Amino acid sequence: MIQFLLYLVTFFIGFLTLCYFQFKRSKNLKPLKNGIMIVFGSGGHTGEMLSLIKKINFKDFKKVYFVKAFSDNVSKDKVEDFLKKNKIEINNEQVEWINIPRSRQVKQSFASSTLTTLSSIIYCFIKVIKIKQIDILLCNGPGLCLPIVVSVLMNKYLMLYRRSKIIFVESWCRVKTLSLTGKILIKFVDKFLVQWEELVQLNPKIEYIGQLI
Amino acid sequence: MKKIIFATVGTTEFDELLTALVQPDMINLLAQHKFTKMVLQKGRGKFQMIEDYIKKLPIEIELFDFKPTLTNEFQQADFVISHCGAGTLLEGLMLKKKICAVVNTTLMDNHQEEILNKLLEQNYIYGIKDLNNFSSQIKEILEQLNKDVLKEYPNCDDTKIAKVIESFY
Repeated sequence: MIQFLLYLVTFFIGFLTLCYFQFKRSKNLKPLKNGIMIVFGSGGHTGEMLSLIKKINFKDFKKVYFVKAFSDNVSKDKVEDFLKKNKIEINNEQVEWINIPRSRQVKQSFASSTLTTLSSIIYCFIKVIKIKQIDILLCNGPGLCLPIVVSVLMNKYLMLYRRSKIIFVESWCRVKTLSLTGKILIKFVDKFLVQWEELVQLNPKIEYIGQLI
Repeated sequence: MKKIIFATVGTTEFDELLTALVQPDMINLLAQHKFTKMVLQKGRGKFQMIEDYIKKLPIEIELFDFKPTLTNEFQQADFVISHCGAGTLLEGLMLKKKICAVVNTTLMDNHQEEILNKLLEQNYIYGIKDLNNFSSQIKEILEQLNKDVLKEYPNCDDTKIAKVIESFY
């Protein structure tokens, strides 16, 4: 019995070490150019995101995934209009729009929003495993990006695709405090960028990039 | 020559601001500064104006609740009075407009004031933090309007994010 337990413990420790080294290695793994994913959080967030993506070389990537909420029926037109107006090179076959449920409606209670967040994460995770190869994920702070970031992280740590890099840009209107989404995600993203210098002192991970709009 | 003032509250409601703007002393002040038209976007507010009152005013009034885009209104305006929403302020700034942001004090826990203070500090906009003595505050701002007190909002380097992405490769 004791021998069996010892085997089990050794096996468990071995497994953990393996996982640990895999994590460490995935830090040095470079992303490829299979897929880039952009999250449009509606309203002001979509507007801000558009000015962030203006100079990205989308044509280098095999696939471009644009994410928006099911209930958001403005962002898609806005984005397509913007791509045309700014003559951004991107093929229609490259682009795939992904609709996801909002994790939290405005004024929803805390208890019910944990439930909807959870179901939203499951929904996103299924979408993300299907895509699998997401090399770059860019999001700018709306609650909508939370389930997507969690899904991409799970995808990464379950070793389905370890090359994913996540860039989080804090919204332009955040001058002195981080958004709730930012506070939750800061530990897990690869780059955390802010547009106002005052925010840098809040956490050593924060990088000041200056105005992006 | 038309001279247009545009007041906008975005997707919120801010009837107190619109009411303050159409008071007789305010209208007279605008007329004195050669404004010929005032465009009011009321959003979700219940604000209304009586036809007879509008007819008597020395300047033209246009009132509507929403439009798919306000770009035209911004572009035509010589001066913008805006609620303190980041989206609206940003749109005006990017179109290089002279803007006065008015804080809606009826909203609690307004983190939008953070960005307002920042913009005021940098002299990119004018600001009004409460509606008391509204017309005298506006009067002061109108007097400064042609004196280049404001700095133009700078165009930013739009290749920054593309460079961050490249840095991973």
